Amino acid sequence: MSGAIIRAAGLTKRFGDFTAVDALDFEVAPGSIFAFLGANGSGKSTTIRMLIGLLTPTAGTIEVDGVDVIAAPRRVRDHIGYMGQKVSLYQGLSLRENLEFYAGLYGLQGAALEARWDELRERFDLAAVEHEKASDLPAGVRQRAGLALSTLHRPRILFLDEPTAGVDLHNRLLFWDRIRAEAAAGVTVFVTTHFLEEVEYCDWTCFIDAGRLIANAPPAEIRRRFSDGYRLRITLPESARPGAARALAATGAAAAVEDDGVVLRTAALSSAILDAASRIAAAHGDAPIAIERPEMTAVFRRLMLAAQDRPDAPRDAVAVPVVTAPTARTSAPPPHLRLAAASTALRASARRLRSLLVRESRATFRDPFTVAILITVPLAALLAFGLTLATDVQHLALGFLDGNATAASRRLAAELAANGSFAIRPYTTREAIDRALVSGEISVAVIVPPDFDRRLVTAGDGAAAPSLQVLYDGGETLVAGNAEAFFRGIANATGAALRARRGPPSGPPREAAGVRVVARAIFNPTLDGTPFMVAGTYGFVLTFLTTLITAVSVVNERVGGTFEQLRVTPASAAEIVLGKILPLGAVFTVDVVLMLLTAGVALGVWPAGNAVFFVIATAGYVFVSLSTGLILSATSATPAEAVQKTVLSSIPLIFLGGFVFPIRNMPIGFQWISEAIPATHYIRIARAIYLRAAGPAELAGELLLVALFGVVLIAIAFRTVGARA
Amino acid sequence: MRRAWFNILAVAYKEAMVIRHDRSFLAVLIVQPISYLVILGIAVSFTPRNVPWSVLDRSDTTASRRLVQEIEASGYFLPATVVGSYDEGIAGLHEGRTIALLVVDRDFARTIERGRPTVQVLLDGADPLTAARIGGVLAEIAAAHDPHLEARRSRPDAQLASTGPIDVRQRFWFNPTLDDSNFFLSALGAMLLTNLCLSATALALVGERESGTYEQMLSLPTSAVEIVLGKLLPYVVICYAQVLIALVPAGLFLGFWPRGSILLLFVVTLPFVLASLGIGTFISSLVSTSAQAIFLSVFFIMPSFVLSGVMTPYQLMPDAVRHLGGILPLRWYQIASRRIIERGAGIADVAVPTLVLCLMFAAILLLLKWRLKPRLG
Repeated sequence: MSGAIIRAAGLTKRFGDFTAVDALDFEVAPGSIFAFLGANGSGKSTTIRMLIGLLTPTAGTIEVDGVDVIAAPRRVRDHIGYMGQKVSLYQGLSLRENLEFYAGLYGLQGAALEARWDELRERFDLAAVEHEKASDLPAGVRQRAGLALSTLHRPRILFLDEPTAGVDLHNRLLFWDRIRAEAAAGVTVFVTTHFLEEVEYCDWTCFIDAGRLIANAPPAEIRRRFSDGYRLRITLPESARPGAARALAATGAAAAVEDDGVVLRTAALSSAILDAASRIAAAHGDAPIAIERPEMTAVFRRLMLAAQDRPDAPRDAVAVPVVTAPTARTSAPPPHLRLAAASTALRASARRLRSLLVRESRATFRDPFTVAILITVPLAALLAFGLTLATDVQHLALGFLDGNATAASRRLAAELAANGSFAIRPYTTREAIDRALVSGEISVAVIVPPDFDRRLVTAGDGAAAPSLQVLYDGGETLVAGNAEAFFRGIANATGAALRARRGPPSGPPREAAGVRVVARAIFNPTLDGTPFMVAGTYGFVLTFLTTLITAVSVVNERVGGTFEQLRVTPASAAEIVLGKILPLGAVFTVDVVLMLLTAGVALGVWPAGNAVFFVIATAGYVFVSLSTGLILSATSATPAEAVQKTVLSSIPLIFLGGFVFPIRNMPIGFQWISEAIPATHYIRIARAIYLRAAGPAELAGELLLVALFGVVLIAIAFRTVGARA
Repeated sequence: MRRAWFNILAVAYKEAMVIRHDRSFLAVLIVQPISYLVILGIAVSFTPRNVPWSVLDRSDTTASRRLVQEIEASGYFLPATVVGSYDEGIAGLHEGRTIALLVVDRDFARTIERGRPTVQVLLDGADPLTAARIGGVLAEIAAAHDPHLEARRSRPDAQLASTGPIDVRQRFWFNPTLDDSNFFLSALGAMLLTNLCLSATALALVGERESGTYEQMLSLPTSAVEIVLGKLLPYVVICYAQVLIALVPAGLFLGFWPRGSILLLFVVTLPFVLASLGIGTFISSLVSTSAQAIFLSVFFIMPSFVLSGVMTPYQLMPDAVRHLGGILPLRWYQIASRRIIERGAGIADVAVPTLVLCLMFAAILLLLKWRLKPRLG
C-alpha cells in the first residue's frame, strides 16, 4: 500500500449540542474497497458528506486525493464520484438525457462521451433501458445506472452511500461485481452499507457507533478480534479422537475431543492446520470435515458489546499501515498559462451551464402540471384581478323611502336609476329601510321628506333648500365613499333641473356660493379600474408564481437527492443558480407576452407606453423574483415549507406592495416596509408604462432600484445555494 | 353508526397528535393572525392620504390662496407644490410625482364677482381608486368653499352656510368615520380561515399517500369518508380558536369588537369551515404530489380573496365577476360575518348565506365520496 488517498484526522461534526461525528481518524488506501459501517444515525452519511465537501466539519482535517476538502471543496469534485442513498437520476428525464446532463457537467461530450457510454452501457448492462424514463426503471437497474453515471468521468474515488439499500439479492450481487471491477481497475471505493455480508467484498472496514470509531481494520482482523474464531470439526470414531486431537494441537491451535470427533478453534485458519486436518481425515477413510466461519453479524454484535463496555477503548483497534503520501501542492503557473487556464475554465463553465439549462428546460416542459400552471395561472389572474376593482358605482342597491310621493320625488328616483349607478328599491317604512341596511340588502338609503317638492320651489329666498336624508352602509367603506360622490352629483343636478322647471329663481344662483370644479382624469379618463389592476397583476403573478415555481422545483430536487448530486459535480453555485433561473426566466418572459396579448384582446387594455420596453423591464424583474424563490427554497427542507414561506412572504406583497392598496395611504413605517419590497417598485414601473406611457428616462430611478435588488438577491442566492451546512 | 363515530374519532385523535407536534404549523397559527391584524388594522386603507398635488395659480389672489389652504386643511393632501406653468404641472403628473393638478385661471377673482367661479382639476387616472376619491373630495371642498366669505362677514344678516340646490344630509351607518380598517377587520377571520383550511388539508391525503399511511388506513375497517371526516375534525377546533385569535386582539388593541352575537358568528362559521376543509381535501385527492397540492390550494386561495369581496367590495364588481365569486364559500361567509360583526345582524339576516354554505358543504361531501371511492389499479 502506497500513500493514503483519503485521510481524515480529528474529524468532528456537531449540530448544536448533538455530536454526530466525534473525532474520527482514518485513512483509506488507494485502490481498496473501504467499508464504512454503523447503525442508522451513527454518523455514516454525515461523514461521507464531509468527505465530499457538502458539509463543513466542526473540527478536523480532510484530505482527498491530495486536496484539502475543507479549504477547496470544489477542487476535489473532478476526482470523485458520488452516489447517494437516493439514486440521483432526474425522474422525468430518460436515462440517456440524464447521461447527457451529467456528462455535460463533467465536460464530457461528442465522441469521447459516446465511447465512454458504449463502455459503461456494456459493463453495467444498460443498453435495453437507455431511453426509458428514470422513474420507470426498477430499483436494481436504477442503482446500476446511478453507479454508471457516477463513474462517467473516471473518478479516482467512488463514494457510495448505502448503494444497495432496497435492492434484491440478485441485483446486489451484480452490483458488487461492478464495484469490485472498478476497484480492480484502480478506483478507490468508499462504501457504506447495512448488509454485513457485503463486508466480505471489502479490503478494509470501519465501524462507527454514535459518531465514534469502534473498529478500524481489515475484515479478517476484526473477525479475529471479535469472535471465537473458526471452528474446525472432524467426525471420527472414538478410538481415533485422542490421537487426532494431539496431532491438531501440534499446529499450535486449541483442539479438544467432543461427542462425535475432534474440534479445533483458531482465530485464523492456516495451511498448517488445514494440512493436518486433511491428513487426519484421509487416515480415517475420508472422515467428514466441517469448517464454521464466524458470521459477520455475530462479530458485529460482539463488537458493539465491547464498545459499550469500554466506550473509549477501540479507537486504536488496529493501526493502519500507511505511508505518508506526498501532498500535491501546485505552485502558481506563469501568467501566460494562467490566462490559458482561465479561458479553459470559462469554456468548461459555459459547457456546464448549457447542460444545466437543457436539463431544466426539459424538466419544465415535460411536466404537464407545471406547463398548465404556467399558462393558466397568469391568464386567470389577469382576468380575475383585472375585473374586480371598479371605482364607478353600478347597480348599487339603494333603498328609497318616498315621504313626498310627488312628481319631483319620483323624478329624483328616476334620475338616480337612470344612468345605472343605483338600483332603486322602494320601501314604505323607516323600520323596513333600517332593517334592509342592517341585513346588507341595500348599501344606500334615501329618505325624502314630505315637504320636498314645496321646498324646492321656495328655496332661495332666504328659505332653506329641501333636505334629503341619506344613509350609507359605512361598513363597505369603498362603496360608501364612492357612492357618496355619485349621489351628490346626481342629486344636485336633479335639484337644479327641477328648480329651473319650477320657475325662475329669485336672487342670485345658488352655485355662486361654491366653486365649481371641472375635473378631468388624464391617462385613464373613465377612471376604469381595469388597467390599474392589469398592470398590477403582472407584479402579482411575476412575484408569486415565479417564487413558488422556483421554490418548489429546487426543493423537489433536494427531496429527490439530485440537488446533492449536483453539488458534488464540478458545477459551481453560480452555474446552478443560473441554470435554474435562465430557463425559467425565459419561460416567464414568454408568459409576459402572453399576458400582454390576453389583456389587450380580452380586456382591451394595451400598454400606453412602449410594449417592448415593458417586456424588457419585466423580464429584468422576473430574475429578481426568481432569485428570491431560490433563496427561499435553499433554506427549506420540504416543498410544504418552501410554499409556506412563499405564501407568508406574499402577504406583504399583496397588501403592502401597492397591488391593491395605495402605499401613500399607509402610516409612514409601513411605507418604508413597502419601499423595501422589490415588487413595489416593479408594480410602480408596470403601472407607469401601462397607464402613463412612461419611458426609460422617467423610470430611471425605479429601474435602477430594481436592478440593485436583483444584484443583491442573486448574490445572496449564489451564497445560499453554495453554502455548506 | 356508532362504529362510524368511533372510527372518525380515532382518526381525529391521530390527526390531532400529528398537529400537536407540527411546530411550524402552530407557529403559522399565531404569526398569521398577528400579521394580518397589523396589516389590515393599521397599514392598508382605501382612504387617500399624503396625496401629492400641485397648484398652478394664475390668479394669485387672496381668494385662490384661501381655496388652496382649505384643500390642504382637509387632511388628504400633502402641502401643495406650486408650479409656474401648465406644462410643468402636467409633467409632474406624467412622472408620477403628483396625483392632482389644480389650475386656477387668471380671471378667478373676476368670475367670483360674476357668480360663476370655476377651477380646473387634472387627476392622475392611473390610480383610479385615489383619483375617484380625490376628485370627489376636491369637488366637495370647493362646493363648500365660500369665496365671498370676507364680504359676507361684514354683512351679519347673510346666511353663512351655503348649500347646493338640495341639502343632502348624510350619515355613514355602522362606521361613521368610514374607517377602512373596520371593513377589513370584519373579514379578518374569513381570510385567516380560508388560508388555514386550504393549506392544512391540501396536504392531508396526498401527504399520507406519499408516506404510505393512507394505504395502511384503508386496510383498516375504516371507510374513506370516515378517514376524511376524522382528519377534518381537529381542524374545525383549530378554526374556532383561530376566529378567537382574530377577534380578541382586534378588540383589545384596536377597539374593534363585533356588534352582533359571537355565538351566531360561530354557528355560521361551522358550514364555512367544513366546506373549506372539504375543498382542501378534494384538491388533495386530485393531485399526485404534495407540491401540486400546494400549488392548487394556493391558486384557489388567491382568487378567493379577490373575487369574494374580502379585499374590495363585491358590490362594485361587474356582474359576471360578481356572479362568479358567488361559487366561493368565502363570498357567503364574508357577507354573513360582516353583517354580524359590523352591523349587528341577527339570525334572519344571515339565514341565506348560512344556507348556501351548508349546501356547498353537502355538495363537496358528495364530490369527495365520489373521488375517494376505492379504485383498483
